[in-house]
Amino acid sequence: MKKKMNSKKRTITILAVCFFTAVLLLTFFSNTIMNASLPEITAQYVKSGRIYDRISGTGIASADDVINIYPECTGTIADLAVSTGDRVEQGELLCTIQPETDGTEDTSGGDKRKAYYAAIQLYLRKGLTYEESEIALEQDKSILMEEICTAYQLTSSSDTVYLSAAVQAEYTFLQNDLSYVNTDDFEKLPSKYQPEIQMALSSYESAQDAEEQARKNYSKAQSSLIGDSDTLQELADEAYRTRESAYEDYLTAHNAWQSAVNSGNENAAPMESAAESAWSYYESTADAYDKAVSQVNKAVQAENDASYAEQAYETAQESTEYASENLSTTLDEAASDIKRDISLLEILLLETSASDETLLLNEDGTVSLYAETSGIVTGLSAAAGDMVLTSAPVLQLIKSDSTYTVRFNTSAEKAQSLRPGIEASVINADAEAILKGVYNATSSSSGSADEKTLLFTVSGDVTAGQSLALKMSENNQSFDFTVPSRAISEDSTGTFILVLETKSTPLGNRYYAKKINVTVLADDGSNAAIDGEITRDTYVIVLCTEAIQDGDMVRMKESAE
Amino acid sequence: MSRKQTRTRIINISLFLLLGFASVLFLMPLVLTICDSFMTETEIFYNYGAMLDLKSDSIYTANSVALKLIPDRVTLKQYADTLITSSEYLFKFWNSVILAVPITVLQIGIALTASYGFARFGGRIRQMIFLVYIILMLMPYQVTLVPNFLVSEQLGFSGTRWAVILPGIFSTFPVFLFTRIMKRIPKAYLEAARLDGAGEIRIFLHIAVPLCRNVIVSVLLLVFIDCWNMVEQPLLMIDDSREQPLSIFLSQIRSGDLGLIFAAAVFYMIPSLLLFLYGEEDLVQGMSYSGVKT
Repeated sequence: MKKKMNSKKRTITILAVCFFTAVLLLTFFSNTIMNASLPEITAQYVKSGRIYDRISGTGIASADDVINIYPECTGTIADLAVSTGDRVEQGELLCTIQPETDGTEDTSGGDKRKAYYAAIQLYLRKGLTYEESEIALEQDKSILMEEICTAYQLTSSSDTVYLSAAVQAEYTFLQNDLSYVNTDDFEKLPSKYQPEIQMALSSYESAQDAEEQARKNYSKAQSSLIGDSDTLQELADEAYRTRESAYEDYLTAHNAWQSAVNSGNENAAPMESAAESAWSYYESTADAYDKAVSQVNKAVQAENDASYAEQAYETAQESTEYASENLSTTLDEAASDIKRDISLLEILLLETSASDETLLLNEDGTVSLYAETSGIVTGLSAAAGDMVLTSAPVLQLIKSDSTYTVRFNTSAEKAQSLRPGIEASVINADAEAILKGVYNATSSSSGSADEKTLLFTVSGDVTAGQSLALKMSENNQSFDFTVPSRAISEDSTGTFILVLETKSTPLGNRYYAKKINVTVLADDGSNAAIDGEITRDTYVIVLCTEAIQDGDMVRMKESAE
Repeated sequence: MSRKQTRTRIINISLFLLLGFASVLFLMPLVLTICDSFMTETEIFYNYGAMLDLKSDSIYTANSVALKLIPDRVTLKQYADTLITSSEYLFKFWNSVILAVPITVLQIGIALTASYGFARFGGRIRQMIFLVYIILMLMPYQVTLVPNFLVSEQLGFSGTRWAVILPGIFSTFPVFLFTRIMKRIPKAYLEAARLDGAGEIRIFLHIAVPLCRNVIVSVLLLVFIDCWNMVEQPLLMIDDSREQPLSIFLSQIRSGDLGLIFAAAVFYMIPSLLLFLYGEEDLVQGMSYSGVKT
């Protein structure tokens, strides 16, 4: 019995030892075992820094300058010459319409319309827009009307009847004037062109005379040339050397004679003769040198005169050429002016021969619809065979130089400091944007009550309907506490961050995530400035391998070796 | 069979049934705890969620409680979470050991010396002190809890483990038991030892204590289990939750994960069980010795 009891106790003792040993081992290695299962975090200290708070958003580009093209009559579209997205030039045919006619139409509408557009084109070449061209055309027509009335002393009554005859007459005069320009019959041109033409002509003739005179002078200078000055200079140099040599010979002879005289040499007399001969030779060489120098000077002078005459001749030629161009330009301007007047008269003829309400038809009885401006066709609302009304546009044109607008919503807090004129960059297009205005978000949009709508004007490589992503830098401030934006989370209690809390245990440190509610002061997408119960020693959890909550145990990420 | 035998048999059967029922009643919680510690969280929520009014958005809870012995799906995840994944429960286990072992050992030591004094030395003062001990023994410990808290605060160890250990080592119940058994030691043994030249300490250590071995083991068992399962004292005295024993976590059944509580409970009862099995015979003998009239 006692033996059995001892055996039992021994077994229990062994079990107890094993149990406590196992628990002890698990306790000592609990850190190691547990860490393998803990989520791994990346954290950093809160630091001060600058935040470039950006506002960004996406919107659809809509064109500003959209023109509705209305048909001039009710009818059926016979032919549609364009489709949506086509780029058209001003005056280009858009479509032809088969009108519902009543038999009173003028069939010369096509030519008249072309003449009308030709007059518009004259003004468009001056850089005016289509609307300005129409206004200028109206003004010139009224001025022309006054001139015609003044010239033909017409009275107010029955102006229309006399006007047609006067216009016809003026039309003929203008055609004659144009022919005078072409045949250089300047004096027959109307007096308003004379002063300029005469001045240009006078300048041209003067230039021609000057050129002739310069040519003569140049010829004379050429004929006065006596030779190459360089060659003559070489001869003069040679003469100089000869003179110098002769002088040396003379000195030698003279010194020899003097020596002979002084030494009482009996050959002094021949030496004297030799010296005199040397002197005579020297004098002749000196004369030759002087003549050579004189020749050189004359040659140089002649060359200079010829050079000046040549330059004057060239200048006279340029002047003549300039005067000729001036005269041509003056004549061209006069011709252009006359042609413009002819066009205006043609329009007057068209308009006086037709009433405002008469439809101008093409030869085949259709009415052509032309593009009033260059642009892109959008909003094509009819196809060939469709019925169209004068009250409904057939299509819409976006002007070539049209700007676009983009709008999106942002928080009222961010929009508070925005002012029109701030630039924004377009991320997904080669374009620029400028803030045009800040408006209350409409109830029909997706915005809430505390949101504002930002309206941008966009220019660049943009098409209507294109989705554009814009961003603008709004705020640039220094903040005491900044953290990476991805460290900030949100829940029902508001915005918060998770910070690292350390607790020491007998077997080492334990790390826990602790939630701290914060307020985001600014955010540029990369870093955010926050405010809350944080200090510089706060260690913020930035990344975690799995979702963690307040109080969860975590482990630090191992630093790369 | 005579009427007397029949009657005896009926009585026995009734007693058997009664005791059997009582046994099942006593054992059921233990068996349930062990079996449910192998259940999944879903099954626990389903079966016991209604009892504890536990609600979860992702787990279905039955309207009534179902006591289930055999799990639908056996899992060791609760034990893995208790022992491996989280070291929290291991630390709490050792906190229990740190509290229970010193209290048990020191209480036994102090009680033995006190009881030797009460048993060996007479006098009216001794009788009065022993009477005070008995009165204190009759009081529930909750009565002395607040005075203990105030004293520990005055002495400056309030909020620490010493606030639990120091009051715990001075217990009257072991003194009472040891005194009764010490008195049963024949005086002749002690006189003979004294005559041989042994002093009081030697007599106490080599004669009195070995003769009280069974009672010591039984008292040790009882004291350890009492200390192992204490909740109020550490809850009141210890502020830092990291120093609190596992018994406190097990008592907070509503706030914890049921599955973890079952697993931790099974794990927590193992030391008590082992100690009981080790000293089972000594416990019986010790209780019987202390009950014999001197």
